[in-house]
Amino acid sequence: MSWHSDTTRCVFFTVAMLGVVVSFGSSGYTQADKQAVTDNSRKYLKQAHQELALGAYEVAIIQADSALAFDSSSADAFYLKGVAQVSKGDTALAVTTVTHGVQIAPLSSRLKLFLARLRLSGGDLDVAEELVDAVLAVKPREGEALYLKGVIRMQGGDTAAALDLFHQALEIALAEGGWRP
Amino acid sequence: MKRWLHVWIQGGVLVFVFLIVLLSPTASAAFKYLREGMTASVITGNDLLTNEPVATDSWLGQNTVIIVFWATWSARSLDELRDLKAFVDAELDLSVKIVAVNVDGQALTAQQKAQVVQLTRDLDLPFPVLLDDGLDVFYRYGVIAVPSTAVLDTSGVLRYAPSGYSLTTRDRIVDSVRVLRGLASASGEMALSEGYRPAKKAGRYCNLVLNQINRKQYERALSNLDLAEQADPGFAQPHLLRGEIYLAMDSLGLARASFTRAAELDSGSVAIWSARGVASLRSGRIEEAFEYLSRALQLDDTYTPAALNLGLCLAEQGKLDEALDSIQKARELNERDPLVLYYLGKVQLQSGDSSQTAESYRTALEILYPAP
Repeated sequence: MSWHSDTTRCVFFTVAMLGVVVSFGSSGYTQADKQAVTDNSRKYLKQAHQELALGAYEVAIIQADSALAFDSSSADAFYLKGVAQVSKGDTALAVTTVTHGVQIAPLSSRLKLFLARLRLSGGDLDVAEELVDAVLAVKPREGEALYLKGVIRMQGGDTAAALDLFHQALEIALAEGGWRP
Repeated sequence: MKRWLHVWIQGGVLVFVFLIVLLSPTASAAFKYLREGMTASVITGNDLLTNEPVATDSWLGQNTVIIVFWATWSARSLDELRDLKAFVDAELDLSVKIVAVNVDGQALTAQQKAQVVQLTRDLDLPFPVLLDDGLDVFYRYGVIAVPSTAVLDTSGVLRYAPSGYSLTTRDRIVDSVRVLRGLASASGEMALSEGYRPAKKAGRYCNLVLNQINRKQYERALSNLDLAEQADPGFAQPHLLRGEIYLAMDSLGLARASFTRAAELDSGSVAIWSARGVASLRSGRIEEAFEYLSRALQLDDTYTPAALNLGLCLAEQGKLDEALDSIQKARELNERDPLVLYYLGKVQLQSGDSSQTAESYRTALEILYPAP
């Protein structure tokens, strides 16, 4: 097959045009679809948040699940679902939900710290500390993480270390949080 | 002159000064940035239960307005809300509009908001309840303690502002409304303070500046304070706000100068004396700070910032027990202020009580980082 032949050029050009059409068409479809997914997920998240504030925990869980149906990696959805479950008294379920969320969305400090709290309340200090340390490894000035580490230390009987961690957390929180007397 | 006469005169002068201080009207200060005689800034929002819009300026002209700052964790707040409910039920024709502004915290979790909603439902109040999420209104008014109440006349001018709540406060609120409605005469116990009435333009600039301070737009705020001062050179508020801005910018000399000027214009303001004390404390002028903060507490012994900073003064002077007492008092006046708990912890540490310190710090952090 020679490039100079009409057939070759024709085949090449056709394949090239097909490639352009497919890539243009598919990227356009994916972008719009992605936007729709994000919008729908956000809509359900907003509703979940509202239901949570009104104390309608079951409905909040359903809305969070709907958000996850659109975006299965939504850290916010896992978080809200976990909060609703805890509020209902289903702490064990909340642990399962948030643990799954941490696996799916490993970059979410918020989920890790929430799971740390749940583990802490269950007496699981080692796991709680691992989670908190994972957050501090990335964000050494994360006030909430320092606070929770202090709580862990205090429960372990090390008041001096707890005091130091609490002091660090307070200095950060009061300076950054704009808290005024 | 005979010695005994000399001593007698000196003693007489001291007694006279003591009586002047004792009998001076105490300036109960519910709000740092709002004094009797000033126009209260407008509060807008949506009712927590019905979502209906609320705007306090829409009530002016015919109604006396009562604004209550309350919190679910404040038992006295709930007493006041229940009493106001009874008051509304009993006095239907009194043309009074009430709004209850919830100031539970600066960053409420969804669960905390749900608690506010539930309690509001349980209280079944015949007036709107707003949630001050982020405490924007709280800081704009400079609320000192919870509950705090503002009674406004039909022009929106603050006429009575008690902090805290007791049976006496309840009676005074009812009496002040009756006086403002012309149903009782304003005399003796029922006299309402007229306060200094600033030029409206100056008041508006100050309200604008409060929003700018909240957003840390200090340069713009300072420019607007120049305009406020021009609009009303006799108004102390612009100088107080200017001093607050300089404190935030760590320009302590300028802050002290501004507060001094504010005190020259309004020597009866507990907020100004307290601010002078804070500026002196931060400048390391401990004796001066002690004097100003003591003066503030003589004017109003429920003024939390003065109690807290007096405690810090006493700690600087090595009087740790007295310092702890003063800071504990500040805590009683506003039990959810993490800054008070932080300083309480610091002084407890100074006194060698590290376990108490850890508790104080932990309590502060529970407020700052509530469980989801």
